[in-house]
Amino acid sequence: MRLAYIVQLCILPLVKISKELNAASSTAIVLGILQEGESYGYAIAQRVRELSHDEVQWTDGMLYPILHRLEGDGLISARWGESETGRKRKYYQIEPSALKTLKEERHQWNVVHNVLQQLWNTQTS
Amino acid sequence: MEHPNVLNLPPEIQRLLKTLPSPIALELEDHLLEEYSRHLRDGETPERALQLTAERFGELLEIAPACAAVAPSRWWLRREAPVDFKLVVVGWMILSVFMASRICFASTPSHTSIVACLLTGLSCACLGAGFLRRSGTIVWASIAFALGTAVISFFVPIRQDIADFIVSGCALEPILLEVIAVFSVLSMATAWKEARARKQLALTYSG
Repeated sequence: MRLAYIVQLCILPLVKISKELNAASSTAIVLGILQEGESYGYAIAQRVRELSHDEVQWTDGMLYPILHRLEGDGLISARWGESETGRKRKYYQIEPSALKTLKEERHQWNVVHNVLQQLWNTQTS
Repeated sequence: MEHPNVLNLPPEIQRLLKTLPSPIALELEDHLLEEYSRHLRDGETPERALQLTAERFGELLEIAPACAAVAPSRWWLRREAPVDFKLVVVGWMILSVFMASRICFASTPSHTSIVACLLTGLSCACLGAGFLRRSGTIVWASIAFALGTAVISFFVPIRQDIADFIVSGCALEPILLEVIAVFSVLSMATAWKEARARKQLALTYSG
């Protein structure tokens, strides 16, 4: 019985995060990653995959307009630098004004998380 | 910046890439090459690495409308103005009020003083508008007005007869005009630097 359960777990596909949830969480995730330090598009996408154990897979088409929107809103700034191979690369860093936004996002996500956790804990018990 | 032409991607994707502003295309090119290199490092053959990369690249079809929605607003000009530029804007505002008040108190305002006051006011208005609207063109216009103010402030007091006229008619000491001239030149340099930075930014994003 136990073995069957483990086998079933292994067969189950990874839960992919829906497009809507990806879009809603993108600002908080990007700002959170940039709070760790300056980064660039590909590295940000890789960091998201790493943190979510590959369950959150951002497409290129999703990440870049988000980065540019945040840049336009003044929450992050960008500079052109060079990669290790000498290619042009755009690096992003968080602006001090974004810290307030990030704090608000964090509070909102914590509230949602707590509500769902309490709700589902009640249902399972 | 040149549009990238990386890898042997499907023609429709390459066409799409060329429709994007070149910095965005360059960013994606960097992203694609990283992805391609990663697959190669993972032991994939170049063909397979290209296929895997192209699969991810296919999702770029979603980016075109998103970028088009962002690009027309010229948001790239909305850069934070440096501190020296902000100081220049404040300096011109103070100067405009000062000049206007002196002319109001002058017994017989001269034409020169009125022109100098107008130039100062226009320069102030342009810098202020350029600061608020983040426009490069308006900043260039303010440089022209600041140049006019500097020329008048520098050269008019050289002639003694005009200098006397200014003291009585403009209610401005010649030494004060020299101070205004120096400030005009300094602010021109700052505004020039800012206008060039904005022009470069606009060029970068318009491709």
